This record gives sequence, structure tokens and C-alpha cells, in this order.
Amino acid sequence: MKLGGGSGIVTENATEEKAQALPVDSSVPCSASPVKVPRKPFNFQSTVASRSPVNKPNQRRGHKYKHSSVSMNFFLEPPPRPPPVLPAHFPVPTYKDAIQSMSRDQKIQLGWCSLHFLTGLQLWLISYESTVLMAISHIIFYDAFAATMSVLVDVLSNFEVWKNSSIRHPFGLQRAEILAGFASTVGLLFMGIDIGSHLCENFMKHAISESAPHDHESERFYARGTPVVIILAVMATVVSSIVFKNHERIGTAVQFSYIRKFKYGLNNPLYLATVCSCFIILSLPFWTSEPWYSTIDNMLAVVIAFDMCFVGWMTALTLGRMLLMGFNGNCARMILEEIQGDSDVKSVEEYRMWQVHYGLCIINIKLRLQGSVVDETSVRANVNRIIGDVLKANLGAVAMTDSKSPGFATSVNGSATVNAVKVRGRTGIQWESTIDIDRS
Amino acid sequence: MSESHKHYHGVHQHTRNSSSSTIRLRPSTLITSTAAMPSSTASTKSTDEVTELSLSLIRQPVLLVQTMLAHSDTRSIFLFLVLNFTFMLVQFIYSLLSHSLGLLSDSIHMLLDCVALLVGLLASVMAKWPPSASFPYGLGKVESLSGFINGILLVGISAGIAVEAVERIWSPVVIERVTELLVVSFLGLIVNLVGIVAFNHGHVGHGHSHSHSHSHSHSESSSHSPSTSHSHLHESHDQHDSHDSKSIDDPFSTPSISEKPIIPPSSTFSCADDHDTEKEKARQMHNENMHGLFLHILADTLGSVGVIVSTALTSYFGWPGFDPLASLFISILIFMSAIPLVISSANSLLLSLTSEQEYVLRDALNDVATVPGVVGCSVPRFWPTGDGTSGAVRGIIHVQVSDEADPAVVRQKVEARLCGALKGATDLFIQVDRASAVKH
Repeated sequence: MKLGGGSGIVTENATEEKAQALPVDSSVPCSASPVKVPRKPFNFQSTVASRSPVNKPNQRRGHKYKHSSVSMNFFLEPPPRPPPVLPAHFPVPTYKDAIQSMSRDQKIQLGWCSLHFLTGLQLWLISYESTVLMAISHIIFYDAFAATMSVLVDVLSNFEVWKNSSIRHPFGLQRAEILAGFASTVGLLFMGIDIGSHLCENFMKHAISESAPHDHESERFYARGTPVVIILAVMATVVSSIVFKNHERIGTAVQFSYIRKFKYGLNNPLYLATVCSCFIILSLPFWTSEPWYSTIDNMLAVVIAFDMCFVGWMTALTLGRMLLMGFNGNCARMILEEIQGDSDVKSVEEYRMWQVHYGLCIINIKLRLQGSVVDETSVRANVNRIIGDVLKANLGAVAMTDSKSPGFATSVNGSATVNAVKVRGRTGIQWESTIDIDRS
Repeated sequence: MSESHKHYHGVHQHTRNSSSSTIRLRPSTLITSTAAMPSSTASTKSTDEVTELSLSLIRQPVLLVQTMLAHSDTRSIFLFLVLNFTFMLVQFIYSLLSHSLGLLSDSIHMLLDCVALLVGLLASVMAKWPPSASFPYGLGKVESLSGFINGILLVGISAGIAVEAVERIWSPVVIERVTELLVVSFLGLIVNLVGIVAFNHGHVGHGHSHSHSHSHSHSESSSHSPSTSHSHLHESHDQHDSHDSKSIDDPFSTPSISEKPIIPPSSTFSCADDHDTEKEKARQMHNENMHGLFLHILADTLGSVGVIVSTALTSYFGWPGFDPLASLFISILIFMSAIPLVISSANSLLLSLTSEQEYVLRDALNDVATVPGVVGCSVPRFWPTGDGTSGAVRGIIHVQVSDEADPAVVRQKVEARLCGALKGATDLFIQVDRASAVKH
């Protein structure tokens, strides 16, 4: 009715309604039009109506639009719309800003990190002859760096530019954390290789020249307060790992599920190596004699060097994959297969899935729908559901983030596109899907 | 009279119904257009095949060496690696025969150099791999990553040298077997000079002053060699994708799963042919991988020079402090040269845009907002492609349209405007939502 089939119906309606409408209309001021229907003696409505519908006041009542305003309908002013919402430009904080924004707790934490560094330095200075102590001091440097990083990330995540998307920094600055982690991991790997090559060198030197220095063995372990420094190092490692959880991410990067089950940082082989070897070195006098020190030291150093290389390699692979804009290939294929199984989807034209940082995946899919499908919203919802299911099932395959990390709380403008999978309410991953439906 | 009225009414109706009718009309036209397209159901297979083939490349060392020799940059790295490795092997065997500890540690140091070269070589080869499910944008960033790794390693090495130098100033070490040392470092110097000559195009630009003739001759050579290598690859085994800039007709350069890519891959670079050499030159200039390797070799060369000079000075003046002083000086030089490399590669890996790109992009997004029917846009994320030197961007954007607009038309217009404004914008993913559906 509202759309109105033809003009005939309209006039019919008008005649029908006339009887009831008459008394009301006469009182309305707009009835002061040239043609006054009630004054006519005859009921010849059709000619009047066909001449000009505007002149019929009755007709207006049943319709939303006045006929006279056809031209106005053409040039209707568009509804006022807000100016385009472009992401703002966020300034990158300077050192001064960062220091000023730090809370007291964060300053204390940073102070602790420098103490952690100093412990490592002290251990390194006294580790002249013992390769194990040198290796442990390297690990402590790495630990301290990771702890410092977690404090710095905490500080920087208060700034808008860190977590919000802007034109300049489309993914915020969170990838800087990945980059710093990668740099320190490369350092760890390098130190592991360095220690390994040192050991090889020592071994070969022993092999080619029999006059290797073997004297003063006992002095080097227990001179200059070595046990105290070792105990300090263990304490620093334990405290940092419990307070800052700097090992947690390393643990997740190492893809062994049975290691991951442990808690309190025990899931990290580096942590185990540090603490265990420190205790072994401390307990040496109680169960061996001095001539064995060097051999045990070298054997332990081999284990630690291997450990460093292993952890470094695994972490570097995980972080490197993110830096190279990669994704778990199996996950991508599973998502793809499921989407292609959708009856509404004709074909998947293109897809790009990659992980930006610890907590965010970007999933772009270009679809071609079956010709009969009209409702794009439900297709999108379905695709998002598929992505969520696959990611949830393979959460271990993509690096995890914990709820403390700033990546987790990211809300990008246009929140309808941000999704998250949570496991036990603690760990999870967000993804952002762009489903481009090509109808051309 | 009545005729004219009917006509009038018809127009009126059409204007009223146009918004809803066009959407319903679309699917029927869509069926015809999609039916004309070649159906591509065997879609995922092609990308899988590509990854399979690239894996088989690794398994067949002959093919791998062939591809290494096919490209000018990988060829120079490969040949220098062979040279370096041979020299290291000779040195190692000689040190074992002559029981020389100094030579032994030097050969182990050279082994680490070889590892760095190997990383660079692998990165250079991998950068030419086609995109896959795991790496949707290919491995173009791997060269930045390798440059970053090399930069970090150089910073670490310079720190190590500095520490050792300080140690030696405290407790000077008397150098034995001076002539042997001199001979070895002279030979090493020659090897490294060969490397510098081989890599000279890796450091063109980077703020150093260079003669015009040099860069010109280089541009000729670089424009020549890729074309030959490209054709060679296409003849022998089609699976190997060459680098972005050269793969104009290669369907694998985007992981488009359909046989017929929607977006021509050539648009990675704004202008294809006439500026190809320019772009190629720009790419080479900013190739962080080559830059990193060049710095590595430069550092070694400086080391050899330092050893020769300091040995000469020590034997002339008889003061042993020259050696640590030279080391300190060299470590500072290495550090200073590595920092720009770290910064530039980190910028590339952070996926941030330059200020010019930001300006252009803001303009383009404002333009998008004026497309008829567009109510707003959200989540605009645009990031530079590859190593970020071409100025091209990739991106995703979500556009909200009013209920009256046709999503397909709006999508095309938005794409056209973005592609027009951002020269060389490739694989844009544009999600068009109804504004009413987004708000719920």
C-alpha cells in the first residue's frame, strides 16, 4: 500500500476516505487550496485528481511524500555525517616522557633490573677460568635484558602510540617488543655459539699441545667470594623469573608440550640450567676432588652452551616468523579448507594470514560468493566463527600472550572486527579479520 | 493529461525504490558475470605446490647452487663464502700441523664469519622464495632480518673487542710468532679485500659519497644480470620465483589461489619498465642483507689492517699498548657503522610508514570518505611492502556504507581511489559493511 501501485489506487482511496476526512480537513489550514472539494455539488473527482494531484489535500494524508516535492526529493540534502574518523597521530614518547610517566613501582623494578645486570657483571668478572660461570653470566645478562624489557613494555604501554593503530604506525609500536626480544635472542644464540667455539678451541689446544695450563685449579672457583656471587646470581634469576615472568614467553616459544606444563618458570630450560649448574658448582667440593673440577666444568659448559643454542634457536624461530609476517601454515590451510566448505562461498580468491605480535593475528580473505547469496553479514560471521574455532584448537601453534601484556587489552577502533580467543580467561590471541567480498 | 501523470508518478516511484531494487537486481547480473569467469576450484593446490617445490630446492643441492649462481648478489656471496671457507680450512690445517694456538683461534673466528656469510646467503636465497601459506607476503623481509641480525652481531662483536682491549691495556699480552701472525693477517687482508670488491654494490649509497660513474656502471650491470637470470629460471624450472621487482608476469608473486589473479602482480612497483633499473638500483642500495655482510667483511678487513699496523708499530717502538689501542679504535668504528644498519632494518621490520607516505595516505583516506555512500571507514592499516624502499604499500580497510549504497560499487570506487592515490598499492583488502549492521 505504501509503495503505491498506480495512480488509480490512489484516487480510489481518496474517494473512500473523503467521507471521514471531510470534517477534519476543513479545519486544517492547508485546505485553503484553489480547489475546494466540499463545495462541489457533484462528485466528479476523477478529472480533478488527474489534473494535479497536489491540489488534493486528501491525497496527502495517506502518503508520506508530497507530490509537489518530487523535485525536492531529488535534491534532498544528505543527512549530516561526522567528519571522517582517521586515526590520530600519536607522538612517540621521548626518554623524558617515559621517565616522567613511570610509577614508583616501575622505578623500583627498573632498579632491580640494573641490580640483576650488576650481578651478571660480577659473575662474569670472576669467571676467568670457569667456562660454566661465564656461560651463566651470559644467561643472566639475557635474563636481565628480558626483565628490563618487560618493565619497559609496561611503561611504554601507557602511551597511546604503543598499542593504538595510527596511520604512521599501523600496528602500534608493539612489534618493537618482538624486535627487542629477537635482538636479545640473537645475542643469546651468538653467546651460546661463542662458548661452544671456546670449548672446541680449548679441547683442540689440549689435543695439539700437551702443555696446557692445569695448575691452580681450586683457586679459581673459590677465590674472591665466588660462592656469594653464585648465590646472588641464583637469587636474581629466581626473583626476576617470579616477579617479572620474563621466562614465560621463552617457555611458550619452546615447542615442547611437556615442558610447558611446569609452572613457576620451570618450563624454561635456561632457568633450569642456570639454577642447577649453580648448585652443582657450589656443591663441587662436597663430592669431588680438585683434579676433576676442570673436566666437570667443561662438561657442564657443553650442556649449557647447547641449552643456550637450543633456546635461542627456538625463540628466534618463533619471533622471526612474526617479524617476517608469517603464520602457522597448517592453521592457514585448515581455515581455508573450512571456508571453502561453506555452501555460500563459491571460491576463496586470495588470503593473507599473518601474526603481527604476541597477541594479534591479521587474517585477510577475499571471497567470491555463490550468486544467490545476498546476506554478507552472515557469511562474515560464519568465517569469523571458523577462524575462532581453528585458532582455539591450535592455540599452541601460535604464540600466546598473557593477560598482563598490553597486547591483550588492545581495542582497535571499529571494535566489531576485533575478536579474541581466551583460554581459561588468561591466555589467548586476538585476531582481526578483513573479509573482502568481491562481486565484480 | 492522465498519460503525463502516470509518467510522472512512475519517475517518482523509481526514485523511491531505487535503493532497494538495485540490491536485489545485483545478484542476477552477478550470476552472469561469474559464470563467464573460468571456475578455479583446484585453488589451494597451486600454493602448496609452490611450497613443495621450494622445499625440493633445498633437498637438491645442485639446484640450490644453480639458483645461487643465477643471481648476481647471491653469486658474489656464494663465491666469497667458498673463498673464505677455503682460507679457513687451510689455516686450520696449518695450525694443526704447526701447533699454533693463535692460528687455531683465528681459524675458529673465521668459521664464525663463514656462519654469518651463510646466514646472509640463505637470506638472499630465501628472499626470492614465492609466498606460501606460512608466509603470505613471501620472505621479502628476510633480508632486513638478516641485516638486523648482522647489525646486532656486529654491535656484540665490537663490545667484545672493546672489553678484550681494555683487559689487554690492564695486563698486556706478549705476542708470539710475529712473522706468522703478519703473514696470516696479510693473507686475510687480501681475502677480505676481494670480498669488499665483490660486495661493493652492496654499499652504494648509505650516505657515503660515491662517484657518479661508479653508480652508473653499477646500474647497468644490475639491470642486465637480473633479466638474464630471470629468463634462465623460467626456462629450467618455473617454480622458483624471482624477486618482487622482476616478477611481472609471474602468477605466484601473490599467493592468489585462483588461476587468474585479480590484481596484476606487477603493481608492486608503481611503474614497471622504464624505471625498473632505477628501482633495482634503489633496492640494491638499501639491501640491508648486503649492507650487513659488507660491514662484516669491512670489520674483518679493519681487524687485519689493525693487526698489521699495530704489530709494525709495536716492533718499531717496543710498546705493547698499540695492539689494544688499535682494537679499541676498530671496535668503535664497527659500532658506529653497525648502528645505522640496525636502525634502518629495525624500521623496516616495524612496518611503520615514512612521513611522506603518511601524508599521502591521509589524503587518500579523506578521499575515500567522500565516495558516495561511504559513511565511515575503520581499521585502516597500511604498511610498506618488502624492504620498504619502493614506497608501495599494502593494506586493509573496512568501509561502512549507508543502506542505500551498493557495496560492490562502493568497493570498486574505494579501490580505484586508493590505488590511484597510493601509487603501487597492491593487494588491498576492502571489507564493505552496512553501517546499520556494524552498529547492531
